[in-house]
Amino acid sequence: MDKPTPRINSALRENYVEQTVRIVGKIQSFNGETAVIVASDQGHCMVKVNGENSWSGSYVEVIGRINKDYSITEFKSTSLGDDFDLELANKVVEYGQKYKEIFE
Amino acid sequence: MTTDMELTPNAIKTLFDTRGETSGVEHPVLQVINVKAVQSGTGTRYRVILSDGAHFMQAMLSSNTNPLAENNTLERWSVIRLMGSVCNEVNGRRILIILNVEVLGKPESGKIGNPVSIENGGSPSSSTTTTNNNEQRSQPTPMSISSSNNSGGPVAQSSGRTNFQLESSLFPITGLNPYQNRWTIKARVTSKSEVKHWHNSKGEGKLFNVHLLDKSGEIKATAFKDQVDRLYHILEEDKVYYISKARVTMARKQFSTLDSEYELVLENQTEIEVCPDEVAIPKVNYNFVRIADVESCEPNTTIDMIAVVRDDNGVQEIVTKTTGRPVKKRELVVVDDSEKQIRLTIWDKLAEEFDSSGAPVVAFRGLRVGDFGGRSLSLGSSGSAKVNPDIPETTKLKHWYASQSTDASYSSFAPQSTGSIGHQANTRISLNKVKKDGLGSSEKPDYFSTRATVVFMRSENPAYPGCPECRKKMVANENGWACEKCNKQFPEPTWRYILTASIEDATAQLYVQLFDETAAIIVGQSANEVMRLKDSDVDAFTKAMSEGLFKTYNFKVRAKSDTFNDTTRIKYNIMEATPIDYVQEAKEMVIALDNLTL
Repeated sequence: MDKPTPRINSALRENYVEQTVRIVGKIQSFNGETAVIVASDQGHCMVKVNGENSWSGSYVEVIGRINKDYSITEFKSTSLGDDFDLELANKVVEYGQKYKEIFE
Repeated sequence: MTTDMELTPNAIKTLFDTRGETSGVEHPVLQVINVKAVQSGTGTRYRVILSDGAHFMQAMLSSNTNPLAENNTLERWSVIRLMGSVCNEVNGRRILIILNVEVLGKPESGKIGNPVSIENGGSPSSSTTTTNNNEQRSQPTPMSISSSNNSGGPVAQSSGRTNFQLESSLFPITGLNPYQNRWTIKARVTSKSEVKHWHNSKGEGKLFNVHLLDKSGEIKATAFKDQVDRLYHILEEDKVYYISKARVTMARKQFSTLDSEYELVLENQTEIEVCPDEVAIPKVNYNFVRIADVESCEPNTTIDMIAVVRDDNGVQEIVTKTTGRPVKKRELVVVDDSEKQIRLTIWDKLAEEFDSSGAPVVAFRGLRVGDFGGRSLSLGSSGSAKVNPDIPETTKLKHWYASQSTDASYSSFAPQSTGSIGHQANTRISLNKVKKDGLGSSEKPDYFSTRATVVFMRSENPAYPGCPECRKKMVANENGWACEKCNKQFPEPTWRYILTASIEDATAQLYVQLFDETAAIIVGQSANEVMRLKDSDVDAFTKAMSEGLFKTYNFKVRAKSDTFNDTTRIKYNIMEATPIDYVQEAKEMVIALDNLTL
């Protein structure tokens, strides 16, 4: 990819509709087709799971596309294990927005 | 009533409002409502009350007009023509100084009109304008200038109280300069030094100095030789004095911590008079700095501080390098509600007598900032320490300290080798700063924290054979190992690391030494295990020594200057090595980032 994928939280989804983003969150619920994650700003996001990735552990980073209904279509996800500081991750998202030039 | 006896209307008001710059009436006609003799340092003065029929105000006869009162030419109810006067402001009151007056006569009807005091905005006196009433009302106004232990009513003014002549020509301290020498100041002694003796090539002598404070500012005054004997007992701390006829000279900044351009030299002709009226003069001017802010102070600046004494290391006697004389010092550790602690040293007599029991709140004035161990404080000779002073900050600190647990740890400015006190995240520096600042190049060791990665560990002689009991190096002989110190034999030594490694961060690289405890963390194995491998399996040994590479730690380092056969090198010893808690570090980074952008 020539352009890096921006990191977002649930509130920023509306800025990136139809774009590819990364979003980190704690898995709240998971069935075979969809999952709900709690993003770093405590907002809930629905993810359309594509079935190729394992959703083990409590925390996950989803790379996917934001749909018009703000759900995320998963491309790839990475398990982040169980020990994760969501607040710090939110800080990263904030800095990414604030200092766009460094992150893009 | 004859026309002579008509008082000039509004004359008092004009004199009062224009402060004597008589753009108004020339030579107004006024009536004397009261005359009172006042004893002062310079003799008898006469206080009079002048009225224009509508208002009255306070006045004084100047010395040359005294005779008029003395021989009763000028007396109560006399009508006078004011030929010359000047209006002075003393302590917020306007007093008319009568320089020249012509007595016109005395009407039989006594008081003309029904004057009210110009100063109180004219609140009318009671209709029974008895002389008593008037006296009582006019008495308090000048009485308030003098001290307030005044049981109401006319009180005979004792000698040495409000000295009107001096009061009317008071200078502010900031107004003193060498070009004007007719001045009097009224000031409080905020600090008095001990009598100091000196010997130099020109002879010997003694001196003491005081700091004088008034509303406008502060100035230092010194008395030399004979004046010491004359004045040392007169000038007392916290008391207020009238001082005049001292010499105003340029300040010698190296001996003074005050900000003043000039200094006073108290000489033979200097007059010092106790003043019991302290109302207008402030007490000590404190400008407290919080411990956390001391870090941003440059060394050798002078500050004030109020803090709780947490630790007292007792009185020690050391020999100073400069004079070679023994000097007593006491090292304290103080904390304040900025949640930091700092070392504070007091000297000489104060050190001997200081009592730190009960964790007192102490207000320090004139503390010199040093950079020993990061930041330290020393009470200078012109400073003062007041235990549990009567100011609001004291109660505030006492409450805060009481709410802290007794073994709460406070971050200090440098890690102390005996017992750690909190974490020193705020002293973490980069390695190039270590090199640039030459940490460790002075005589005392410097301590710092840094985060760096181990990039190299020396494999030759990483450890020495140590005695299991005393850790000293042992010598190998046929039966095993012999310790020289303990005179014992051991079959196996306890190998202890004496590891040289190279650490790097994004800015620079440093060669460091690690001792057994810290090296074991870095290498991941004990020295014994590693040395065993060295003899048996070289590959395994090499692998063991490289396992620890490229791991990042938070290091606490001591930098010390070491002279070895003419070469002086700075040696860096690792005191502590801790693996990184990423979450904690990231949180600290967030704080730093937020601070950066504010």
